[in-house]
Amino acid sequence: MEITEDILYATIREQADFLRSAKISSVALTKAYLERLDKFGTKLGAVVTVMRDSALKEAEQADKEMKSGSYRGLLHGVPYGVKDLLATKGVPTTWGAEPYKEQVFDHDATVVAKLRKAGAVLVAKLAMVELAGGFGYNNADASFTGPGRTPWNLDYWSGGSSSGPGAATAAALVSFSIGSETSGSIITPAAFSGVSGLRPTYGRVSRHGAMALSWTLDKLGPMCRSADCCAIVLTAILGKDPRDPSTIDSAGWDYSPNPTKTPFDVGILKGSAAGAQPEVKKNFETSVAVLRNFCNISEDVEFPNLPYGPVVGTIVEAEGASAFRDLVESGKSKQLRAANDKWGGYPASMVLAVDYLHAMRVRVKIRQALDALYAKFDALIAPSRGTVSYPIDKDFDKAYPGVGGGPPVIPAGNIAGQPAISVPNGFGAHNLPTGIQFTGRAGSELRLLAIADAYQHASDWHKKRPPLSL
Amino acid sequence: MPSNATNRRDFGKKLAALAAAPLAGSAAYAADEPPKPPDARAATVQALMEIVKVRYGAHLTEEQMKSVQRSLQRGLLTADRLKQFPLKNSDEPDFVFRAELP
Repeated sequence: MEITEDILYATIREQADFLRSAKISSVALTKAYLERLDKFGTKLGAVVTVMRDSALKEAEQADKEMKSGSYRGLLHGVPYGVKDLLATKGVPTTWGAEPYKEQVFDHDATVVAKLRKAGAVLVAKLAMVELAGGFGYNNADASFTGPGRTPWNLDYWSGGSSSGPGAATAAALVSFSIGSETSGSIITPAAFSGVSGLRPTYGRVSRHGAMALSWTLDKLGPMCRSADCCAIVLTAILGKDPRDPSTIDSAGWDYSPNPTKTPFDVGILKGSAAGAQPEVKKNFETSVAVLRNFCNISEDVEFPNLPYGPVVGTIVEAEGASAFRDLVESGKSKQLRAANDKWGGYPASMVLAVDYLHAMRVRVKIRQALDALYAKFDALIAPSRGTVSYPIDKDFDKAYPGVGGGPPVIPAGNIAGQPAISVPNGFGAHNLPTGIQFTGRAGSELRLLAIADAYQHASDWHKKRPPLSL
Repeated sequence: MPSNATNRRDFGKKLAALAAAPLAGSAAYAADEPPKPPDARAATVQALMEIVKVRYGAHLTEEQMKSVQRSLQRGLLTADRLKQFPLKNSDEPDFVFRAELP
């Protein structure tokens, strides 16, 4: 069976059916993705390293195992990419940053090891905003590989800091990818690139082997074609890891694509779409109309008014300045690409210890207040972003002045370690995708995935393909 | 070394002057303290800038130094907003230290 574009854009479950029934081979599927990585990877600013030789070996191994009846599960033989902040033994892991271009680790990140165990085929290390954006970048050109471009319109950003996973997944350069989020780095590129992106609960996925920007905020999560794909990938990578003391026990984890609980109790955060671009607002309202078919909707849910921005900003600055102290003090941060990143580590290094601790004390209050609110709902929803993606040639703060606003759902959820999933829900200005985010209390991924999956059964925005062709 | 670098003696003099200024002492950290007036904030930024110059001045251009200064100003506003959030003595930070048991 020929590897058509339909197969490249198929879900993991569909690809797994083709692979298991030997209608296609992992080698053929891998070669087809490698061809697209070569063709579009640089154009999209989405790729750092193509893993051609090792990928073909892994694919051959997967085919051999499946042929012999040794089937590892839904990811067996499925090609994927990782944000280039995950260590891969013997291959450069650049963190998107010039000073680390030659960095090579002697071990694999836990996530990479788990996906290998699941039989998935690593085809590429994907581009990212340098150092995951910790030094305050203010435009898309913030990686040594250049700006990540959304395949929906190459003049616009794919989102960050998981810019490569967003663009590569949207353009079918990989079947799925792994991104990371400290405060918005999965939800934003998922929205701007038109893919489904899950930010897991803090500690759900081991960070061992991942670049640290903020030890108390960093999370790794899947970026895929659908919520169901995200669930399949998350199931493979979650779990306690002695090499990451923050990991939580997921022993009771039991994902089923056919949830039994409906209707879901879903709240709309008050003011969440009020200041958004008109198309974002309209798409959100249309999504709510779809959700009403299987959800009890509560309108105008008040979001607690707490200092989310100052707390997350102080934590990222203090922890990031410590994590990259060597870089900052050596003066090598001047080698970073974005103008702000060249100096951002210096004021971050001036955060007082008492201010950091104050932020970490307020964080407890935020976590408690949000959990009390979220306990009343299966999910609270909002537009993933108030605008479509930013143009490549403008600073972010000059792209859509005065547009946006709404409750600061992204920093709040990250402070509290809560999960969220963004899925596509339409298009806005310049043919750019928009997204809706489902957010929940810590540990509620299964419920969020079930609601997002039900939404995707009732809509087809996640099946749209960007205007790229070979 | 760029012209914005400073020597340790100048730095010490400026810090001493700052310590003598009103609102810059320990009273500034009272929990119910209102946000600092602009002049106190400017003095604090200036003191922090002196530290930046001593520690990192060699790595920064004049233009970048101005950006650092603006960032420090924003940072102080952020810190002031944080301090307005009421906390009790018993409110612990959001992490737990554990002793390494044998």
